[in-house]
Amino acid sequence: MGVSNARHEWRRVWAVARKDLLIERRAKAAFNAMAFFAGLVLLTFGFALGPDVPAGESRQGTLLQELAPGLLWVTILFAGVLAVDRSFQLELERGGFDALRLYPGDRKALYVGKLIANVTIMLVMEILICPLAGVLYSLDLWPRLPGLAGVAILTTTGFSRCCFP
Amino acid sequence: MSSSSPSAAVEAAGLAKRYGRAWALRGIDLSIRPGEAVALLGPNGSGKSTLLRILATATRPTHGEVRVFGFPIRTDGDTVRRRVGLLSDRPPLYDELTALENLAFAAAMYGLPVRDDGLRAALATVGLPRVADARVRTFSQGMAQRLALARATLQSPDLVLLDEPYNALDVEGLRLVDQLLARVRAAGKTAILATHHIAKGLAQCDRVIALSGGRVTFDGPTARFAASPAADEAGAWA
Repeated sequence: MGVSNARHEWRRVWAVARKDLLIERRAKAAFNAMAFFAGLVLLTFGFALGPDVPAGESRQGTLLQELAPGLLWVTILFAGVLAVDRSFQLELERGGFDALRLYPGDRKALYVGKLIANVTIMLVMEILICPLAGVLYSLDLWPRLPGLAGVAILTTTGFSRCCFP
Repeated sequence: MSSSSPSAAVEAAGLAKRYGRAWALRGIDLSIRPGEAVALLGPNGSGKSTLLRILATATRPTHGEVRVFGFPIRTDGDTVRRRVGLLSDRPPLYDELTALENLAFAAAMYGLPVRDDGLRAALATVGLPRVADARVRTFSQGMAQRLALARATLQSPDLVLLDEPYNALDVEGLRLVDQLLARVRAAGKTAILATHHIAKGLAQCDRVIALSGGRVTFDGPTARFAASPAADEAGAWA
């Protein structure tokens, strides 16, 4: 692939990603669904497990704090399914998939563009969800923030990668 | 059709398409010369849209071979896509984007320069210069159809495929489609116009291909269509 061709393909990638992000910024269809779902799940777990139930033997803190990492990731990944679903719906509504397929050029550009948009939307949602989990489950996230950010970026990218086969 | 024939804009041999158990096309043979304007007439379900979708590489044929400007659509789809513009019956527009943003996206995907003045000029050709910055969700069906028309011809395709372009258009919109077809013909490009609007099809094209039940029932000059049995049949569905 020549430099000019690669530049052209990256322009297509950016066009797809920008289009999806612009639509999401205006419609907020995926984000609202994800935020509502994630908030509801975190609250439900909080009420179901209770804030004062002690953790298992030889553990400090509460049961909720012990299970928080797992609960947080389950919430994020399930909410992510909503984002992926919205990304597909966006193209199905007016026969957009057909139109995307009719543009000449490498179809990998469509895939990478969609991937970038989906990862961005999910990361924004995670930036809101993690502090909410910290407040609801009485977690001190600051010391773990760099590691958490790294894991979040890798997991979200991997998850989105699997959802757009 | 053993070898590429660059003298033909479209060549199809034994073209058939099946959706599940239903055959949309049942063995179509046709050859369209560059610069021809062809009216594709037929009732609902006759295979018009399927034929256009196959020529645009949106759908693969079940049987048969198709070449567009000498390139087989099965193996040279990307080359074909660079030279074909399709206005489908479901305009692929994004409601939350403005008219200008929709065109800018299409331009970027075609690898065209995304220049604001050029895109606004494209909108002006379909009578939408004043709503360039309005979101498509606020558009009427006719305005969306006009925008789709601008999008389908944005890359100046050599083969223009129009599927029911007169749908939902007002008198001014009908005139714009006619003007667009005239420009396409003046530029020596090829156009295939699938429509129920028989009078428009006959007025704008120099050849008619009539389809019924996935088969060609008439293929000839516009002037001979009126005297053909296919015209009697058209009287029933038009």
